[in-house]
Amino acid sequence: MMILPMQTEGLYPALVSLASAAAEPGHLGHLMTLLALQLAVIMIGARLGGLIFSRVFKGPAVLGELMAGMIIGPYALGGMDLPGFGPLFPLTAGVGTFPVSTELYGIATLASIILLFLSGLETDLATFLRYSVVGMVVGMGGLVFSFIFGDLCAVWFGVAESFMDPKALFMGTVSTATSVGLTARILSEKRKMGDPEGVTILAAAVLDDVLGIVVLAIVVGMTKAARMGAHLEWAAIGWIALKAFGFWIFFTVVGLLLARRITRVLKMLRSMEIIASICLGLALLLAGLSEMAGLAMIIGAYIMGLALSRTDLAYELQDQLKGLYSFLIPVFFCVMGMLVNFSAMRSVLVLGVVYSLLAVVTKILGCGIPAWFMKFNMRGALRIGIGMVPRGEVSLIVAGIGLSAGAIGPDIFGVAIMMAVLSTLIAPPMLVKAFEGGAGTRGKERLPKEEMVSLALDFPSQHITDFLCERIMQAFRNEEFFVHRLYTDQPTYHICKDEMMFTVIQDGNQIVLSMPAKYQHIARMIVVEEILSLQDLLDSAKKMKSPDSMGIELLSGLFGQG
Amino acid sequence: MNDIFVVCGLFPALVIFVFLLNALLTGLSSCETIRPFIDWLKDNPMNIKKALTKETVLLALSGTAKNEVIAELLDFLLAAHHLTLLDRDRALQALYAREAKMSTGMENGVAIPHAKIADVDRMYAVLGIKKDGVDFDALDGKPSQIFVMTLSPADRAGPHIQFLAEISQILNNAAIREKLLAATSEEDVLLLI
Repeated sequence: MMILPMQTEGLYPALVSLASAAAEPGHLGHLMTLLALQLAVIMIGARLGGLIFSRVFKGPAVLGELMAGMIIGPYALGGMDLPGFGPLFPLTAGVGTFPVSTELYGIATLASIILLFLSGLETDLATFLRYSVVGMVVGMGGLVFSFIFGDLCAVWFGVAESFMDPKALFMGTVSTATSVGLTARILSEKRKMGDPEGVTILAAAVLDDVLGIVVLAIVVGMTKAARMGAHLEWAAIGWIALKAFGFWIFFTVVGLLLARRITRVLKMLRSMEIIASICLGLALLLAGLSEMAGLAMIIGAYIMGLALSRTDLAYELQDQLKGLYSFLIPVFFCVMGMLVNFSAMRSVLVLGVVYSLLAVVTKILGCGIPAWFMKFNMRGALRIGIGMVPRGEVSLIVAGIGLSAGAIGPDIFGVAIMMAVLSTLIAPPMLVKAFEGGAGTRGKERLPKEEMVSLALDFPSQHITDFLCERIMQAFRNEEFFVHRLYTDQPTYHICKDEMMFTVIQDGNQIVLSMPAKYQHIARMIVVEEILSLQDLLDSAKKMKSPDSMGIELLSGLFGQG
Repeated sequence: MNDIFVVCGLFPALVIFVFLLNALLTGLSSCETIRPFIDWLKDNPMNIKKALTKETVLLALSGTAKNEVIAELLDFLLAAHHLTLLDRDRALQALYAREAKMSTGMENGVAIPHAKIADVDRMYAVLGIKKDGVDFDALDGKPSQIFVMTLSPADRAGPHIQFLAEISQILNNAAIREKLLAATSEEDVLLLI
């Protein structure tokens, strides 16, 4: 009994001193208060910026988020003194010359890991492998062209000393990474996703991602080695490349091989929330490992996503992580915008414009010329080239990594942001224009398509259709399929397991199943068994008391009291 | 300028490396000694070989009518899997009930009698052959010669229908069916599927 008052006595002064210390700069309490306020401004600012940009200017929300970051960042409004608090985004908060605080950059890094993990999960390896030859040649052309000219641009403008200067290499890497998301959205709106051009762009973008990540790994490795003072001989560069590629190949192959075994163990947990957390944990683990191996963290995250992309968990994981993604990604883009130092950019404005134009032209030529050689006509080649133009998140992440590693300065970072913004702005109208007119292939050549069959089942009423649709979905779940409902006007379901993928659309009183011909026997038999099992249900319904007598039983005596 | 050529060469080198690695892996996975290890790593879940063994293949069914064949297959299934505690009559009724809804006699002499019951812990399967065939009310009206029977748990999820669908797909191949009917040992049957 005596201990308690003594403890409280000791606690009270401690609390008082903690509260007063919270207001002192540099103290943990103050730092956390600052972080909360910063995040508040970033979350609201990024979302509003995105909203304004997409509603008023009809452009991608990402650019609005990026610009919101530039406006509220330490080099603009954020650097101004708030009465009684000081600047909201003090320039001194970062380590060395880095403009944002470590805590804030940590959150942006987490966002970039989630982004790359999801991007790996969304990677359609099957499409890539099916169209690998065309995709590979096109992707490779764009990659080599944009890398070399991005790199040379730095040398021409005297920013870097030689082609192998880390600064130049970073500028080359930044200009390689196509962000196919924007193109994919425009193509699916125009229903051109299944066209030869659309499929080629998607396949090329996969190669672009994969090799872009490998190039980044090599460049980061070289930069780190150069900073340690090592003199980079070709042998050393070869060793770094081998290490980067070895890490990549090893974990991708092991990941793809073991993915099914891992997911099977995970499925025993029977909770998608827990599974999603563990998978994200694994992505973070591999991210950490890749950083320890001298590569960038996003590489590990991407590999983990890629490994899980072939499993039936992929859709569910994307669904589970959607919430986290939509909260953190605007923060990421906003923080990237905040890193832009306008005064440092003034001297490199011309470089920025030339670099951006080169980035656009090299992708169009680099992807278009090989496409033209591979059975596309001029129109098709141009479409593919323009489709590969937009740069986005990966370029920004790469630039951010370069900035935080000290390989590039704020001027080059600004140039990279400028390129990402300009290419994202230029591409959509060009793409829409390019897709007008006829076919993009020479002759009547079409890319081979997996044979699909569809099956329509009619039912007498909406109620029965709803009920049966739910039963059929349950039947697929009982066969260990993953059923994923898409939030579209018509109830649409993706049913997947391993390489099998069926789509079910409920259209009024009709249920339409679409499936690859080679797996249709499985879907058909599952549906047959489910419809047959309804017989039991009907039999038991017949055994029910007649609705009349049940109604009388329910209502009798209810109005007789008065 | 020299550097640029080296970098240009690096990209195709990476792609060639990936192709070589892919070829190596494909080569390895077709090698019989490594195949089981790769299968284990990949954990292919629909492994028909796992569900059927030589103890669960019956080469000469004796029944001459549909219900006799079903009863015979069930008895063989219970014996082959040592399911001594299972209520035979309930299982038989479940199989008959499924047949009453719609015959499991498919086309080309293949039948897949099956039922879901509460008393089993996993799916059990047997394969039976009757060369003369039995009238099984098949979809195409032809007598059924190859039978795959499964009993699966009613309250547990698992690829039970998928198993039947996949094995029917294999048996859809006329050449495999012919060889199965000509098979003289259980091992031959397993090798074919």
